[in-house]
Amino acid sequence: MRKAKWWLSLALALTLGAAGCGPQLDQSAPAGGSGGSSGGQTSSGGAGAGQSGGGEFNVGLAISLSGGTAKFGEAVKRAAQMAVDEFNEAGGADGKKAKLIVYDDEAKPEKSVEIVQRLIQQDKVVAFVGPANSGNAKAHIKFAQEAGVPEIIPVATGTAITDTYANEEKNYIFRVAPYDRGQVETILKWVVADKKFTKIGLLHDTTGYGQGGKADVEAVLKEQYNMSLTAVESFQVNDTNMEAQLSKMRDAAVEVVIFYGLAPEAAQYLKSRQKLDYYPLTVASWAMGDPTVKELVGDLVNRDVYMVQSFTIDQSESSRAFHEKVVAKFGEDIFPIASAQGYDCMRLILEAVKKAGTDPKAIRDAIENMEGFEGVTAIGEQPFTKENHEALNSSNMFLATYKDGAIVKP
Amino acid sequence: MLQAVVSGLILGSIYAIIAQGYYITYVTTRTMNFGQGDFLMLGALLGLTSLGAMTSAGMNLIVSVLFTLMIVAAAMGLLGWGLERGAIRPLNHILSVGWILSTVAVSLMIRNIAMLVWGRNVIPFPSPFGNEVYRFGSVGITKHEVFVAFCAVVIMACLFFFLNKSLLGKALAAVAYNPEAASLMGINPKRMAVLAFALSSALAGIGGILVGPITNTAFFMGATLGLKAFAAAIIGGLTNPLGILIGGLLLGVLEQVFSLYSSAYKDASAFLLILIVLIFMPQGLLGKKVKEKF
Repeated sequence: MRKAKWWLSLALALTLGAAGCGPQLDQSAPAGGSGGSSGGQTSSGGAGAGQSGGGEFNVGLAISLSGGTAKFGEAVKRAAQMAVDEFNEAGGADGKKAKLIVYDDEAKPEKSVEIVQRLIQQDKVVAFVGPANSGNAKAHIKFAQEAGVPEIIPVATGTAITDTYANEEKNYIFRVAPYDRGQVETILKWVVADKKFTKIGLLHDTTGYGQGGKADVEAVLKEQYNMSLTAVESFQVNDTNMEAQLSKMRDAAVEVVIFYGLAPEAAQYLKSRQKLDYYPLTVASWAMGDPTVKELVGDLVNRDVYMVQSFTIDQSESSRAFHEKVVAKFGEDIFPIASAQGYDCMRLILEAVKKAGTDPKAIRDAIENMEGFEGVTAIGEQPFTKENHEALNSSNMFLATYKDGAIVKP
Repeated sequence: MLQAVVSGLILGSIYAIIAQGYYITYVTTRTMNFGQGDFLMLGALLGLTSLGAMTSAGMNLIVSVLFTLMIVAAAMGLLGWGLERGAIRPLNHILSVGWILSTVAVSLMIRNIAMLVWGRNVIPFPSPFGNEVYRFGSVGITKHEVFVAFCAVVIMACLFFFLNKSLLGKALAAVAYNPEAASLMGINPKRMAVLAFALSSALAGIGGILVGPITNTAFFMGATLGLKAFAAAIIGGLTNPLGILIGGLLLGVLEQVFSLYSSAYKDASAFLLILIVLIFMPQGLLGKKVKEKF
């Protein structure tokens, strides 16, 4: 028996280790289907070009087409392809056609660095779009900045990314995605300034995402409104319910719950609301708008759930037209907001090429000084300035809600 | 508070169902499958696929649930047989603890293969009973959760009677007690070992179908569940199915009640309980004290 006990403790240690070693979301190991089509390059424009008068130039897309953020990547890829096709059909820029080169970063930072370098050095892209993961962006923006090739980020929301080179003479990193701090400002503006709620609860996950959200919420509340949270609760990835946390919110009589976590846990949260028969007004980051949430819980999304968005299908004529175009071309719009942001990113680059030609440095200036741009997201007509490289910020992000299973403006 | 206790009991039932798989193989061969959690995951995903295929082919819901249970139990049983033959028996004589590593290795392989087959996304697993919530006062509970709790007790009872009362069960126990003597009595210890692993894997598969609608169903769901279930088995005593059930329930309730006070330290509470139990009752709450002769 003594021997057996030794085994057990050894075994327990090993299992602990093994649980840690296993593949997690957003890490390692390629998922299926990436090999042929997306791992290699996909090109467009060349085939249908016909009389290509002024030759062609390359634009890049470096994003995850496999891995935990594959759905974002796939939506962006389709939309970027659409933008490039439309650009070429309309005659390109001075007869020059665009060719889209797509590489899969597999949601891994090291892979991301590799493909960004390949895009810049081998494919000589004039500008590129990517990535979906903040960690990947942090790992590779150095190369874009040093090579002087503009990059527009369609999905990654980590706050600091576009600020990294803010003090350089020219900052090559732009973003058309709701960055984290801006999302928190948008949420709190609605909750505190518009709706005048005073008892606010926060429910966040224990990963870097949720911890960062917590820090942002507390800081913004303190600095802008001189308030503090009534209740703060956390949960872990893979938790099967959040009833205890919700009960505490109920006991603290919070009026609104700010939820800061990713899609699978958001689904568990909504299920727990139903079980407790307690439906506090819930305001969440844009992760709540992930189509996965609705797949997992169905109708539960329809009741008092708000989240930050930059795009809803019903927000304007052009966004509805865009959505219908995506559906007509691909049969479905797998992730409407990611499609829209990806489309705007690629359009910004192509518009800049029309104005400034194919020199990356001139394109950067043209993107920064772009005026009269009409995006499908809530992006402004002049998206960027020298100081501001965030096209979406608390002035044009907004809160949307689910109605009959679709994300709409409230 | 009451809600926390109830949801703790449900969570505990899930742990207990998984942990019974450790028990069967432990009492028979003194080995365990440390990939029990991943076997559970495979069961859930297999069940999801076959249930989806059958209901979309227009079969009656109850019939297709029964068929799914049988298919998954058979497939997982086969896998358990393969595990014993491929990863445990060949290592038996080389290194006495080799099976620990080999079962972990198999589980990692299964996890990665599952990721390739079913992808990395969380897959919705609708409960065959629907999403209806029953209310008792302030406590809400879904039909499926009642079913899971019920199954935990039934599985425990079945195992208890199977191993203590049936002839085959007694044969299994005899092998555990003294393999040489058992083989003199006409019992084939190797066959019994295979049987134990097949049973334990089939149980994991069925457990996967049971817990799928409650937890998120994805390739990574097994890791934490398997670990917590192992904790439950240790707390309750590896040699007693009733102890495992109690250990599971205790662990689940403790976790949920603890998170009423501090949700951040929920997991710490579970493993603190293990330490306390192991210090004061090394054999678990209901485990038998065995004096081993060396």
